[in-house]
Amino acid sequence: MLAQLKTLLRGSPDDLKGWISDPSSRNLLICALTIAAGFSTYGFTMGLWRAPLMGLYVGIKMPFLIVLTLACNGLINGMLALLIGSGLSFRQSILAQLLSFSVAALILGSLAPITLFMALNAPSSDLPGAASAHASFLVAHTLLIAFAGIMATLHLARLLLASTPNPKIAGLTLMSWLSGNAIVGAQFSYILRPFFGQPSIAVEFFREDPMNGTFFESFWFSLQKITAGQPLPAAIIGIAVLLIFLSPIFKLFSNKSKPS
Amino acid sequence: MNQSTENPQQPNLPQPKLDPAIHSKELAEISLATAFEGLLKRPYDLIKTMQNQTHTKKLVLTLSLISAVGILIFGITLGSFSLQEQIWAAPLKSIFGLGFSAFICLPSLYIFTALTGTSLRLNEIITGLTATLALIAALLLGFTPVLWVFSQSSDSEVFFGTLTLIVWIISFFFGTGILTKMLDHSGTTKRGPLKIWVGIFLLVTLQMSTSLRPIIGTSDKLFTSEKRFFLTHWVMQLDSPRKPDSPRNDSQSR
Repeated sequence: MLAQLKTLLRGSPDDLKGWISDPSSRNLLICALTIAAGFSTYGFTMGLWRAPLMGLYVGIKMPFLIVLTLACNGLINGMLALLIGSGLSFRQSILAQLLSFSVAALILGSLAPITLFMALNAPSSDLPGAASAHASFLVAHTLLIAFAGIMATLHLARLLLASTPNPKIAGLTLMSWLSGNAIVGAQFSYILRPFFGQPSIAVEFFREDPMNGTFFESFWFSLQKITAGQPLPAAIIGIAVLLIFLSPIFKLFSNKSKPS
Repeated sequence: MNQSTENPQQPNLPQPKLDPAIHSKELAEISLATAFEGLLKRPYDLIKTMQNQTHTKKLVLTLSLISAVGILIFGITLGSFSLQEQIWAAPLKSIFGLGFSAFICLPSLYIFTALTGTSLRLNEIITGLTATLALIAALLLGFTPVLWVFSQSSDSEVFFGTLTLIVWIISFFFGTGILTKMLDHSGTTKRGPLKIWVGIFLLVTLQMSTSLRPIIGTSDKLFTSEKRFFLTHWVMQLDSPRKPDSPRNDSQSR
């Protein structure tokens, strides 16, 4: 199993294609176990700073977020892959997405000792420096999760480039999966909140009204609040930053599209 | 008449430079001297030796010994700034701090090197990390006389702390260079994930120096219980006024 995971991390197109051509129950199980272990370990260290109970809650909720996102989007992603002409079956589509989440889980799981050290060394949530510690945590975890997400997407892109008939189909499949997972995943993360645990709010598994509101409305209101009613320039800067983050993926596709 | 002495059939072209990553050979024997020389002069030969699994244990022990001695002497130099109990506490904290930082960063190093596409085994990664620590320690050892001179000349913790930080960063980047060379040797050209890991490792070591404070300066307690982010701590140190009667007696030292 360890050797297989290492092969997965190396991300060689042929090896990834080998994984996808054998969508056996064993491969699905390996991915599921990796996701559960990686995300729950990392999630625990993320919530630990607020309280050990919060660590336990986040440790349960993080893998659950992935399961919910895939369960909700699995059918439509599989259908889109078929319609676009990727040649991937439903089972292969699910395995491809699980592979990508497994890469993220391995990266985040390997960083868990460091984030644990970070949580144990930050001022406690009941001390005066808690607000700045919370903000630093938010930034650090966002950067780490963004890095894991980019590496996972790069692996998925390589896999699709190796398994689909041409780069255009690979790009379309990737775009459809990513946008669907991003929209649904963001909303599930809103429903399953809190993850970071604000020092001023009590520790709880769910908020009192988890289904009330959407991630996007909440994000827009927050943007309005921090930009004094001028959210558009901030949104444009945010999109530019996102495009910079996604540049390795664009580079991968532009290299593949060039005639040899 | 300007006659050329060169043979037209055999023009005096510059000799092609041998790629050290390809033309490396294993160290003849593993001893403190050869390992030290390998770290500084023949890193690719050392990397080649790391690949031979029969030598792993001996090589790791030798490199660990170099690390321990180097960091111990570096720590004593840091402790000599304040003397008193710091003369033994600073070296112990330095050895523990660097060792523990390496320990918690090892899982991510394994994963991040795998992301570059290499096929390095776990024991090679462990040996590589030990070699990195040994090279950092060797460089710190080299800087020790300079640090010692300033530790005896200056009373300013901010000045001595800054100097130590500069020395640490220089040694750190040369030391982690051995991991980059390991990647070159393994044939991969992707270095991005490793560069990110090096940044994370640096941050962990800097935070560790704050968590284990005081290392420079003295305190009533051996460890300060207040938790603090290292940048916050540095800013507070810069802002804190010096005590005129006891310039080295500050509990909030780095």
